[in-house]
Amino acid sequence: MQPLEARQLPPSPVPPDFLDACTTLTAAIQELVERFPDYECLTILHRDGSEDRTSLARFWQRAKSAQALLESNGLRPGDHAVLILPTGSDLVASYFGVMLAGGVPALTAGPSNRISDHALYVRFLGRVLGNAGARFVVSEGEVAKLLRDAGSDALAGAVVLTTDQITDLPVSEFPATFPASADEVATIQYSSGTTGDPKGVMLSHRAMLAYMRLLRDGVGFGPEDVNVNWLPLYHDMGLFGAFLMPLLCGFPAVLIPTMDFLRSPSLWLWAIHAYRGAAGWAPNFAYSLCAKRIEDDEIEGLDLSSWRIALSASEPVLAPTLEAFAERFAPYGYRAETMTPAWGMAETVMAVTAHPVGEKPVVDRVDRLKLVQEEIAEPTAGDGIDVVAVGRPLPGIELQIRDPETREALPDRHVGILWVRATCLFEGYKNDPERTAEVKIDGWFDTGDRAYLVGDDLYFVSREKDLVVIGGEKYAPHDVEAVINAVPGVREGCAVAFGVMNTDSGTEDLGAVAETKLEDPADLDALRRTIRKEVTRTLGLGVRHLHLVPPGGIEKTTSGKLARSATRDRYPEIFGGRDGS
Amino acid sequence: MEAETLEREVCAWLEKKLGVSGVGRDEELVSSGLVDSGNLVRLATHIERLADIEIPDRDIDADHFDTVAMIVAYVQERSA
Repeated sequence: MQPLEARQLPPSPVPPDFLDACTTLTAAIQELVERFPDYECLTILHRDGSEDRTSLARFWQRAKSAQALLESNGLRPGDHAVLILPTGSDLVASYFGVMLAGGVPALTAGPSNRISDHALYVRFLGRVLGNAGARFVVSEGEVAKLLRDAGSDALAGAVVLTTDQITDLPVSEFPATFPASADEVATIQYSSGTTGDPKGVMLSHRAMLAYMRLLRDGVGFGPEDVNVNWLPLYHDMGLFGAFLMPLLCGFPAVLIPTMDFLRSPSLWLWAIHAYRGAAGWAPNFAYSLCAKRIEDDEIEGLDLSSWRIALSASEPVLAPTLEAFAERFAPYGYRAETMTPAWGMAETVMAVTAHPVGEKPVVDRVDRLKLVQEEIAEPTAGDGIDVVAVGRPLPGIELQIRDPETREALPDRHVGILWVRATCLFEGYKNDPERTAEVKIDGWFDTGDRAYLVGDDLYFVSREKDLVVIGGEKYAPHDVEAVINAVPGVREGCAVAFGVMNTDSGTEDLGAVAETKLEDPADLDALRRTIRKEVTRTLGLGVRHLHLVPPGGIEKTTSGKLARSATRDRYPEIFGGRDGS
Repeated sequence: MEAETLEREVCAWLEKKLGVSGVGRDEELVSSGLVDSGNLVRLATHIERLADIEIPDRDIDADHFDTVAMIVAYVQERSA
């Protein structure tokens, strides 16, 4: 990565309170375009240092042209379209193009570069399309070809459109904008990775706008804050943090395609340097990656002193990562108080707690045994578990820690289930009223996360829902277990999978235990290889820790979750303690 | 680039960046979980520089990069 020279972004002409009077996303964007057509609201930065800048007028032309393409292919108000596109102006235009036609855009990931079996991706996508009842997929390049080759049946009847079919229309031919209302669903987020049952989180215009206002005011973003991000837009932090909030609040934004960041992590830091970036968002693993995998000679002359807010959310925030990052980049002008741990879920739009900006992150050292056995976070001066405060509720957000059984509110420092009440809660899960009713109760949302409070500070302990989160992407252990169970030599139904925290990489590795009757070391070795190959082929994940055990080696309980944690606890020498120690 | 030099360089990278030493030519890197997707992308970017070739995003997967032997074969094919 070559150093990036200083660059200027055009100052934003958008008044700081612009969002306050907006009622729908479509009306907001239309007003922005009418008032500030020449404002270059979006800059995409590529790995070779080149950038694309898009003015609001140009963005509007692409969005209107995308709308026309969708309408001419039969998209009607209320129809859903799933977008599978890399970060870029066509994704942004297609997203709004669907909305301008009265449709509902949903964003999801393309096939992982680790999954060699693309048929499985198509099957997953088919389930998403079926769940959304989507009539269209908008994609491009090889992904579009893969989907077209798969045929309409595999895509639940959805039609594949590509961005190269969007032909620029003159203003006189722009189709009329569908007048949306605030309570209609504006976006669906399919956020649970590429495994598990598709879970479409429906968000209304009202919730999304309410969220962006409370984020702007609660965290304290200002019009002079340049946002520099690389998160994919199908991720909630990418969609809202990197793209929609800066766009609709008129904050200058630089987006880096995710693959370009992964190839050269220092690109993100150089972009912050070059554009005098003030805000950036990432899951914990990315901070760990930057702290540990960037060489000195890549960042000679780097200046991070403009960085004011580094939000960390979407996976557990680890104390060693905060320390490593602060130490690594202090010589480059980075301040420890820039790091802003936060907590949120797609169901709350995004982060609804954040550590006060400008204050160093707080770490609570608690007694390990008390936490594990009694579910009480008792401070200790000696050896213990370091839990990072993931922030205080943003304005208008209420948090409660409740007993998992009785649902009674618990006092400070008692670990229980986190419930959230907010004006920005999701409407429900698409086509899944039962699942919605299980978690949305009397205006509150049962997050399933286990946490405790100390005053206003929230401390995250673990996920009740047993998901494995690797690099901010979520995976259902059940899917891994199903793959392992199908490998000949594994005792049917006798495999469990779970996440194992890796403090070095700052994210989880995949761990699994499987029973087998095989005993010969060569056979066991072969079985290990086959299991790993299958899991990679089908899910794109590597099984970092794989333990084969004789029959009886797995704890059997009626709950998959208990079986996983009990089995895991049986082999501490392999999987370590809960906090990755 | 010589196959042996490349092999040595890849192994050195794995040791330096991931702390994994003594990786065999045919040992699975990706499917074993040794190299996660992020590290795989960085390994590919490193190889791009070493061998002075361009590796398109779509090739960075377990089909092309799962073992040191596969990496060497891939690079030789691209440089030919």
